Amino acid sequence: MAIDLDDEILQDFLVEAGEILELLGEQLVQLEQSPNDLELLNAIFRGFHTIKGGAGFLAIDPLVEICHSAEDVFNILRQGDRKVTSDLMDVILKVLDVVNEMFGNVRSGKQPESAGEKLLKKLKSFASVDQPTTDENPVQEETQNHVVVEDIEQSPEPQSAEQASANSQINSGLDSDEITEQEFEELLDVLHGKREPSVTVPSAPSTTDDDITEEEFEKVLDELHGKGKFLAPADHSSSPENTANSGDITEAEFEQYLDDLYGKGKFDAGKIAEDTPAPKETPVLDTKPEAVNVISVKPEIEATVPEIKPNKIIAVEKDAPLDSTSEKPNKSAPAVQADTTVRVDTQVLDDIMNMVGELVLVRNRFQTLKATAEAGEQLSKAISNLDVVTADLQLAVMKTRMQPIKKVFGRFPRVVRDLARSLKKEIRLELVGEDTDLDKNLVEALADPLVHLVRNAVDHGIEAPEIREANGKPKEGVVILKASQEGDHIQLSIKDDGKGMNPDKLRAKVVDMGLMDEESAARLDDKECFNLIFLPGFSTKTEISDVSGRGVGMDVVKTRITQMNGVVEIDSIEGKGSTIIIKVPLTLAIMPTLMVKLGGQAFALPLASVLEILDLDLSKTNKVDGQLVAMVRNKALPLFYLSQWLVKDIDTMSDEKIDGHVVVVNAGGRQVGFVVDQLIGQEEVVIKALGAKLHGLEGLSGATITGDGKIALILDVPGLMKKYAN
Amino acid sequence: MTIRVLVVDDSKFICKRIQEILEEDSTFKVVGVAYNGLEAIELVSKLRPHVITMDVEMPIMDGITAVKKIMASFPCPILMFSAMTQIGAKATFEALNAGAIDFLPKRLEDIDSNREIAKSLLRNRIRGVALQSQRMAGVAISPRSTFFKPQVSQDSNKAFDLVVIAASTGGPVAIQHVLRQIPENCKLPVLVLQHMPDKFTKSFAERLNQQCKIKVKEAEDGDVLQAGTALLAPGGLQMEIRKIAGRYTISLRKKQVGEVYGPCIDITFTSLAKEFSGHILAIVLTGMGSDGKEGAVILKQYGAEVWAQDEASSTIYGMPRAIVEANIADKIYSLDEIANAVRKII
Repeated sequence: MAIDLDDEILQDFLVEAGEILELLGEQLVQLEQSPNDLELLNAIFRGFHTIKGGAGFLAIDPLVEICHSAEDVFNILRQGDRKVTSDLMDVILKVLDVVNEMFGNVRSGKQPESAGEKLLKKLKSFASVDQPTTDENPVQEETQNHVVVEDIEQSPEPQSAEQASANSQINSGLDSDEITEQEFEELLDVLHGKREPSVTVPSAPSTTDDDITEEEFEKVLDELHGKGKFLAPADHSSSPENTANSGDITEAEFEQYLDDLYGKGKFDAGKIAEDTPAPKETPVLDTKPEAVNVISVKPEIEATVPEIKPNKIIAVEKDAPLDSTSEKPNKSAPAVQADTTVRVDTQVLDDIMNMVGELVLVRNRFQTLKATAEAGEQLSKAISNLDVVTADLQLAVMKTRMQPIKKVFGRFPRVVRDLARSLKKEIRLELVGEDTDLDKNLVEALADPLVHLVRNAVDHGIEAPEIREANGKPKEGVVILKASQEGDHIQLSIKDDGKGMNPDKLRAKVVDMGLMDEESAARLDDKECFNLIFLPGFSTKTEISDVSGRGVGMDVVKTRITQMNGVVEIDSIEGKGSTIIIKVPLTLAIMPTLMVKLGGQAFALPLASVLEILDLDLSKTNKVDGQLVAMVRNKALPLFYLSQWLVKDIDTMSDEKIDGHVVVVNAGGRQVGFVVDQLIGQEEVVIKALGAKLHGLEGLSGATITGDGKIALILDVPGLMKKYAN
Repeated sequence: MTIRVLVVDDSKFICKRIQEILEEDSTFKVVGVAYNGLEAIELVSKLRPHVITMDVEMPIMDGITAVKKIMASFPCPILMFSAMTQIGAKATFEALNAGAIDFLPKRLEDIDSNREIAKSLLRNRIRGVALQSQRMAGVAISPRSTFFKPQVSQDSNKAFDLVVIAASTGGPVAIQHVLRQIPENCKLPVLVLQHMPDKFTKSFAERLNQQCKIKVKEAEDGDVLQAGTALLAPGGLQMEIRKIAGRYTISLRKKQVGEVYGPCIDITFTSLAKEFSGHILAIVLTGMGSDGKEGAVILKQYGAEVWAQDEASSTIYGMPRAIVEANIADKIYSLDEIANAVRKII
């Protein structure tokens, strides 16, 4: 069927299916964290099912085809006939990408193309009941890889409760259940640096508090071979190379191998018991041992493995029983709503916003008139009413354009997941404040900068698991993306617990790159050093990775955010992590400002940048390195005479100003004071763009019409600093 | 009189589409929409619709559970919208067993390749299912059926050589009921004709096979009629009988232009009448329409015996009524009576 964009039915479908798709994106990443969550599996199944249904109705066959295959896979998964593995997730995420692509096609009126033989075939292969031997790399509950020696894994009672209760799934990282003599040899060779690994052995040894005692080890071996054949090995003298000759390895060699894998004396039986199994749904693992490649030492199973030799060492990954205690509630049920929405072009909303802006200006005029002229009581009242109504209208219109930042946040789990996987790092992303509303334009404008910042945190911030561990940090790095409304602006923060930044390194770098001279660099305080990364071309990464490191990202981020009349700054503690904070106004069109007068002319300072207003004794200023400063609360506050910068023919120095008004602003993380002639007051202004000829002037972000009908230029603090303060 | 419909599906999009299709005909009015099974139950009690269309996969409470609960508390005719897949088939049979009356494919193209015809068929089916209200709530919607006396049966002592059971709406459950009672040592071959889409008959046969003592399988071309085996005509095809090398074998063919049903009961009945030389018992169970009447007339001409299911126990008293009104019903039995009688003769 041809795609007819005018078709109301098609649009209906796109809205509903679009929402489901977005949700699916989040759910799929969630699934990797909780691969046994039955609710989640069901919800994802239904997601694909519903999209398929609608697509079927509209006869969009390629979409039906792929959703159908995906649905089949999830049906198998939810029935417990197959487990979620990273490879499966990769394919499914690819499928989601393809579906999104098809959606894009449909949205632009094109008939989408089929997903392609290859992908469909792959999906089909996952849509059958899983055969235990081919199961690879199941996704763990926590993101910790544990390499365990399988035959010590399962052992009756005397072992700690954790191990006893665990029915861990043991899976081969290799293709067959057992490793051959040959492969074992290779493993050992790899360990001793003799050979490149042809067999993947998970590299990260795990830190654990669960040591296996000599007794336990002995007991297990006893089970294997009958009592009394071994002594708990105490020395590690023999070199594992001896295995080349015999089929069995000696216990010493065995220990040696273990030690090599984990470091001396450490052993991990798979930290399973974190989630005490409270199965609500049918737990698959516990009840279907045959579905799982368990080669356990339990006496009853021993019979099935004829000659259990200790050299059957298999890389084990932890698994947990079906988890229904996941705290992430399934929010997939659509809200029960009849058709209470109307579809409106965003252009119309933009126009309305403009008109409200004009209304605000007129209201401001009235307010000024009310103050100056002899307004009668009636008129005053009317103007007060107008004020209230306009404020309400303004808020209401702003609301129509508000969207929860969830829309942008939604893509991050995937971004982080893919990046972490490609960089082989373990990262957990936390999203806070997804429901924070902001203006639609802002949401869209923030998307790219946020992505860049998050990628940065993942790429540069969070260290590789080994390094983290070596530094006593948990292997899993955490990135917290938080959004909140703080009064008249939105605050976004990206916090990571990575390696942080070293101010001196940054100092050195900026000098190296010739962006600053040594003296100025030396004068920067730590915070200022951190904010150096926003300079164009600045990058401390010696290798340029695919992701970042070219030094183009951060300054672009800053520029974009500044364009939104926002501010961005960064703070960091070396070794502990970094935090980037972005503040953007609630709306791009109307801005609360502090109106000031410089040499008789009115200027507007964005209130978001204003920290405080001081009355200072300007005679008590000092000059430090050529920079005028005032001491405020024992800190040096750099002072700048704005009128000197902005007003022609003003000679401030001649003015015998004793007490001056100083507006302390936040200039890219630094506090600076602007000396102004007069303070007018707070005023909400409608931002009007400067005309084409004035566009791009640094320090000015627009203009507005003041309450008394005059034009006031709106100042841009970072721009001012850049242009005049150096 | 307007037929009040409650539409249940977790996709708002689908609900809207169903509503649009139904309300193209002004005799339908969608009085409510529910997005999951729980809401459906709440709305049934409030709205008391004439008929419910129900989806299977829904959050909070799925369709099958909802059917069970509704039939237990506020029984109402329910029509399932099914995916034409094996999974869909399984779910559908469960729903039918839970009390749903009928089912339709979710996709219009699966009902008919012509969209308008498909929509019309959909409406007709829903209307047919809605008319069941009269049975359940005692509210008369359709004109009362007039009574017919069964023909005096001729020669009911004569032993049978073949039993053929035919049904449509309400058939799966009824057939299940009858076949399950047939003992293992069944001496006769059985043929089963059920109006059903092709993707479903295989599952249906497997399901029956699991539940019955006798063997049940979907008929394949070339299958030989055997005692103790029930062959189910595959959906979408026509099933006929040939005598080859002294044995009666199944011959399947595609639907031809103009043939509405596949399997068409008339075609099979006619074929049996002409090719099968033994004594045939043809049982026409619940179903909409009148498929089977023409064939039954021919069977009678060739000396077969024809039973019809009675109105009281029929889900839809359409096909059996056609038999009765044509005066060719040798016996009019309730479903239980049919099951008992079959058990005895077989």
